[in-house]
Amino acid sequence: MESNLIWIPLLPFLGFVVNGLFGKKFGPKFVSWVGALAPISAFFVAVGVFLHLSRAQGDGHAGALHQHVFDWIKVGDFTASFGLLADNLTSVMCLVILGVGSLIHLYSIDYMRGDKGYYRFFAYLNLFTAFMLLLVLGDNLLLMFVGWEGVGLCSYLLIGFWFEDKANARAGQKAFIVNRIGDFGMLLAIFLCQRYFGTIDTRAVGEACAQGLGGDTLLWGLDLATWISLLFFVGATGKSAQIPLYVWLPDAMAGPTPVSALIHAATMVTSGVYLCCRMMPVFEASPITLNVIAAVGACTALLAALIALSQNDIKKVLAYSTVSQLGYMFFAIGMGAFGAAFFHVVTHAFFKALLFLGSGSVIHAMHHEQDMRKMGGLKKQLPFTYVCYMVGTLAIAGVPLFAGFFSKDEILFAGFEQAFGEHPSSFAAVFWGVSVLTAGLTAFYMLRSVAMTFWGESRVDPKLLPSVREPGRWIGFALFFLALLAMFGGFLGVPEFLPIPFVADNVLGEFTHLAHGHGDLTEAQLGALHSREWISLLISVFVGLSGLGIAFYLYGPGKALLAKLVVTSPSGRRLRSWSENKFYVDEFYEFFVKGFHAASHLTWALIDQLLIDKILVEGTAAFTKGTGHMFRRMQSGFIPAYLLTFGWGALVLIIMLLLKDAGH
Amino acid sequence: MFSLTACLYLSAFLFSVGIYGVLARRNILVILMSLELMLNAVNLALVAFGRAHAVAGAAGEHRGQVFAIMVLAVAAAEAAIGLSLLLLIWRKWRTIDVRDLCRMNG
Repeated sequence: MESNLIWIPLLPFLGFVVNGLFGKKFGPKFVSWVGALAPISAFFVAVGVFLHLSRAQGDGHAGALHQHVFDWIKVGDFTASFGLLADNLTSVMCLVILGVGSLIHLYSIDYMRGDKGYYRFFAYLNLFTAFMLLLVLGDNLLLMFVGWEGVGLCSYLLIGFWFEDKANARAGQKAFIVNRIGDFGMLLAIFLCQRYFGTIDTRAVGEACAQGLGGDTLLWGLDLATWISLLFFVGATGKSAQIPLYVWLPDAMAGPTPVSALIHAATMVTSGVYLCCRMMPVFEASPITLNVIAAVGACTALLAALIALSQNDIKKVLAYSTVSQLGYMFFAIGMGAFGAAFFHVVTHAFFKALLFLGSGSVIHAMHHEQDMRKMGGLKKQLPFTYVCYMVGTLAIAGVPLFAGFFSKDEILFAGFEQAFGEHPSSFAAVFWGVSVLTAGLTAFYMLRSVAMTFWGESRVDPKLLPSVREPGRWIGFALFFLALLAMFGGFLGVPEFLPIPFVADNVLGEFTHLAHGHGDLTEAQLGALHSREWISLLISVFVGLSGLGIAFYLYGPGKALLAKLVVTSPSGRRLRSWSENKFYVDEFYEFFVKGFHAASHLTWALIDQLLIDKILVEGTAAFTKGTGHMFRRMQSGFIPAYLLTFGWGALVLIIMLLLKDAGH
Repeated sequence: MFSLTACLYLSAFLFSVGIYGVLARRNILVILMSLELMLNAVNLALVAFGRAHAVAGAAGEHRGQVFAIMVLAVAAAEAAIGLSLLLLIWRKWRTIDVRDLCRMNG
C-alpha cells in the first residue's frame, strides 16, 4: 500500500504531460479521456489508501502511510526528502480533492467544448490536481511549499485562461502577486522551523511544539510557536483569501467556471485551513495566534458577506460567499475547533462546488452572461439546474439536515462554547455574535441570488431566450452527484447530542483525530454541555431561516419591497453603495500599489529599458557591428595586400629582435 | 673564392627582387617564380653561412647545406601545389590575374 501513494499525485501529473504534449495533435476526444481518467484513476488509488487506513483504525492501530520516494535536497545537516505522508486527515482531503475534482473534470468536458484552448485547459487542470495532491501529501514543509506554489501557478494560468482579454490576464496577475505576499510568510515560517527545530518534517515540527519546545521568546515578547504559527497564518491568508489578502479571490472569477469551482471554492483556497489542521500542535501551542485567527476569520466572514449582499454578478456573489465561508473555517480554528474547521472544508467543497457548477450551467446556457439583472425566471428553462442550485443554497444557508447545517452548527457551537461555556470570554462572544450575524447574511444573499436568477419575471434578452436550455449530460451528471453530496455530506459529522438514526456520531472528527472527545466529563457537565449545544443549534437555525425568510420577503415572487427599503432611505442607500463598492478596499490597496507601480515603472524605464536593453544588449551589438564594419575593409581579397601586411609585420618583428639584441 | 659579405649582398638582392615580384606582379605564375627566387636567396645565405662558420670535422659541419636541401624539398612541394592550384584556377575562371581573384573580400 505504501508504494502506491506516489501514484495519487503522479497520475494527474501524467495526464498533464500527455495532454500538454500531445493534446493539440490528438484532438478533444483524446484530451477528454486522458484529462478525466487521470483524476478518476487517482481517486481509486486514494480510495484504496483510505480503506487501508480506516481498516487500521478499526483494528485499533491507527497510523499513517509513508512513502519515501527519494532524497530531494541534502546540504550539510539540512535534509528535505521527497516523501509522501498519508494519515487519516490527508486521506480524507485526497478523497475530497479527487472526488470533487473528478466531477469537475467531467463537467468541463461539456463546459469547455469547442474552446480553442481545450487541451490546454485540461492540461492545466490536471497539473493543478497534481500540485494540490502534492501539497496535501508532502511529508515536509518544503515539499508542501512546492505544491503550495504549484497550485498558485495553476491558479494564475487558469484565471488568465482567456488571456486575450486584458482584464482576465490582470486578474491572474493580481492573484499571483497577492499570493506571493502570503507565501513570504509561509517561507519565513519554514525557515524558523529549520533554524530552531532543525527539521522541516511536518510531524517532527508538530511534536516539537507539542512538547513545548516553541516556548522561548523570540522577538517582541512573542514566543517561537507564536511566530511560526502567525507566519503560517500569513501564508494562509494569502492562499485562503482572508483579510487583508482576500482581494484576489473575487477577481479570480475571470477564469472559466469549472476553475472557480475546483480551485477557488473547493480545494486550493481551503489549503490554508488544511495547513492549520496539519500543523495543529503548532497553532495549539499559541493562544495569541488562535485569537488573531479567530478575529481575522470572523471579520473576513462578515465583511465578505456584507459585500456579497449587493453584487449583481452571479459568480461574484459566490466568490464573496467563499471568502466568507473561509472566514468561518478560520474562526473555527481560532476557537480551537480544528475538527469543525476541517468538516466545514469538506462540506463547503461539496455545496460550493455545486453552487459554482450550477452557476456555470446558467452562464453556459445564457451564452456567458453573468449579470443576474439580465436573468430572472430561469426556473422554467433550467429546471434541473434550479433544483441543484437550490440544494446548494439550502446547504450553505444551514437549513437542517443539509451538509452546511452540521458543519456550520459545529463552528458556531465552538464559538458559543468559548463565549458562554464554562470559562466565558467576552472576546469570543463578540466574534461569535459576528459569525451568527454572518450566518443570517449568508442565507439572505444566497436566496437573493436564487431569486434574481431563477424566480420572478424573465429579464433575459428575448432574442436569447429560445436558445436557453439545459446544457449537456456531463454537466447534469456532475451537478447530480454534487447535489447528493451537498444533501447528505453533513452526516459525516453528526454531533453526539442529535439523535439521528443509522448514522454514527462525528465520524469525520474522530477519523481525522482533530476533534477532542468528551470522555473526561461528568454526567452533569455533559448534560450542561448538551443543553448549550441545543441553544447554539436553535440560534443558528433561527438565524439561518430568518435570513432566508427576509430574502424571500424582499425578493420573492411579486415583491417590490426592496426598492422602498433601500432606494428611498438615505442610510440604506449609503450602506448599499459601500457594499456595492466592496468597502473601497481595492481602492485603498490601489494607493499602495500605485507607489510600487511608479517605482517599478521607473526601474523598468531606467534599468531594463535603458541600461539592459539599450546599453548592454543593443550597445554590445552595435559595438560588434561597428568594429566589424571597420575591420572588413582589411579583408580585401587582394592577395598582394595581405602579403604586404605580412611583410611589414615580419619587418617590424625583425627590427624588434635586432633592437633587443642591441640592448644587451 | 667569394667572401661571405659578397654572398650575403647577392642573397639580399635576390630576396628583394623576389619580394618586389611577389608584391608588384599580377600574374600568379610570376608571383610563384618570385617566391622561388626568395627561397633560393635564403638558400644562398644558408650555404654561405655554413661554409663560413663550419668547423671541419666537428659535428654539424654541413648543417647549412643540409638545411638548404631541406628548403629545396619544401620549395618543390610548394611549387607543385601552387602550380596545380594555378591550373585549376585557370580552368575555372580563365584568368590568373590576382586582381580578378578577390572574391573572398569582406
